[in-house]
Amino acid sequence: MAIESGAPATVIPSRFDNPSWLSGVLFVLFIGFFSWALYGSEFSLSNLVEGIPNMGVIMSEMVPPDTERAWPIAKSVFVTLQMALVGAVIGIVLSLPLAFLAARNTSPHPLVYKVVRAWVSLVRTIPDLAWALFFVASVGLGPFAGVLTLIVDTIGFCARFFAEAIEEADPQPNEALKAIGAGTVDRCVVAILPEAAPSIINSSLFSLEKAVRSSVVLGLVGAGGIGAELAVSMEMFRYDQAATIILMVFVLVYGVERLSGWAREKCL
Amino acid sequence: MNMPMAGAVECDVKTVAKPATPLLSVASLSKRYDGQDVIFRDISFELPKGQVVSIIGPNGAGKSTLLRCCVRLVEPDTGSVKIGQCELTALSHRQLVKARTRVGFVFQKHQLVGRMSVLSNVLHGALGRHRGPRLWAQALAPRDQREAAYHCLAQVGLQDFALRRADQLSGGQSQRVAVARALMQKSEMIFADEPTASLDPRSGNEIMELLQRLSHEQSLGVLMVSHDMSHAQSFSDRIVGLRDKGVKLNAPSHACSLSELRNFF
Ligand SMILES: Nc1ncnc2c1ncn2[C@@H]1O[C@H](COP(=O)(O)OP(=O)(O)OP(=O)(O)O)[C@@H](O)[C@H]1O
Ligand SMILES: [Mg+2]
Repeated sequence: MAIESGAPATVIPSRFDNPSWLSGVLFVLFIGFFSWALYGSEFSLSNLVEGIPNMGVIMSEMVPPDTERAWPIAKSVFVTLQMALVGAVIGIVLSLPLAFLAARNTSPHPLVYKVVRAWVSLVRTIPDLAWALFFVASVGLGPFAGVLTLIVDTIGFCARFFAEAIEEADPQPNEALKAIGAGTVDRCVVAILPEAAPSIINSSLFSLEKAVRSSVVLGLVGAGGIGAELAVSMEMFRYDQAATIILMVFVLVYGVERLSGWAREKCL
Repeated sequence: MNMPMAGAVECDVKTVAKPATPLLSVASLSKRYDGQDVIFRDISFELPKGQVVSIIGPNGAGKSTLLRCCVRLVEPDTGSVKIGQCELTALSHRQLVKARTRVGFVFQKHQLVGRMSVLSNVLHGALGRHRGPRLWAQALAPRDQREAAYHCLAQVGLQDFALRRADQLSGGQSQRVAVARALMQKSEMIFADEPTASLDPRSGNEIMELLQRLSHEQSLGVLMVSHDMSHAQSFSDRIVGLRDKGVKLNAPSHACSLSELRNFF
């Protein structure tokens, strides 16, 4: 009867909570900051509109792509691929032991875990072009500087994801081998690595794709590969050559992505 | 507990011929996990050579914990665990790893490396004795080890599954592979935590018969946890009952009737 005598629910909760004064302040602050950023970044619609004819000119000069330098360009694209492959593979191989040190369940000591984790995040947060400039300055211009950059870049990416895969591995096969006195290295390889393998293969393929993409721009700062050719063509207003380069880069990146997609399907 | 003589014939010989030092002796063992009540205190029992000892007790009584404490996979708080003459609680980490090689361990489930072949998994039993890449997978193994692993697999009747991936096996088959791996270890004793849980009655019996046969033929000590009272009663030589944080039963199996065991809970 309490239910019957109870008033029907006349007060329906409103759709939105009343906005608090804090969110109002935050919103105003954001608008202010965004306007300031537009100003700082010299964002200008008029410049964009003025630039449109230039874009049209460049595009029209791109066709037909130049075929005269196609062969040297193809060679350079191939070097880019080689750089990416060497950099990614060495990076992946070096990432594996680091990942075991940086995974909570396999690290020999919490301190080791912290130090390796911190180092890997540091490596990851420094952009690859900064690494490229650093390596060009230390080992000179050319693909080797690019390879070193890609190695470091791959480690920053892979060591972290490998470590996460290792932490997610089922602990029970490992415990079973621990119970019978198997050594740490043996257990890591035999019980943990197979568990983490699909994830590791996936990250590795992804880092290979990533290496191919970033190796294209490394040439811009002199770290070898096709990027340098692209910069030179653009600076010399040879947009037809630039078009050839861009097409070949597209074929390369697309090809590698298809290949790794196929490998992913086969392995997983 | 009274000792009925009937039905005690086959076990008596062994009880009399009990060797001086048991394979495992546990004395006054206590354990509590951080932030929890005591799991058990003052546990004492022995595992003699060539015998099967069953631990029974209700869920959460601490049977699995006790088994893990016996090889310090879980650190006991107080008390002593001796493997042969060797006091386990006094060992350094390195010595402990060595001591663990003397004990084969069969867990309840999920203990095989699913992505590797059955034979590789059996081979891993030798990782306690030897280190290194040649024992990582059957394809890399030295001929003699590979043959030994195959032989162990044959002992549990799974030689035809040698190159199957371990995650394609049924529960009972995995359990047998785990036993084969324990055999490969050539240990003096096998600890088995509910080796027959989730197995059908027939596979369960097969595992139990296998463990019993091995213990009698190869003088292995088998320490197992079981919830199946008829297994405990018919396949073990001694039953240790864990309840209310302590050992409330420790008797030869022929002295315990099935109904007594069931009433233990
Ligand atoms: N790693 C752990 N950390 C904290 N508490 C634990 C841990 N493992 C087990 N426990 C607790 O210890 C008690 C005993 O657990 P244990 O697994 O040893 O019981 P059990 O006798 O094997 O039970 P079951 O018959 O269900 O297998 C339980 O209350 C459990 O919650
Ligand atoms: Mg248990």
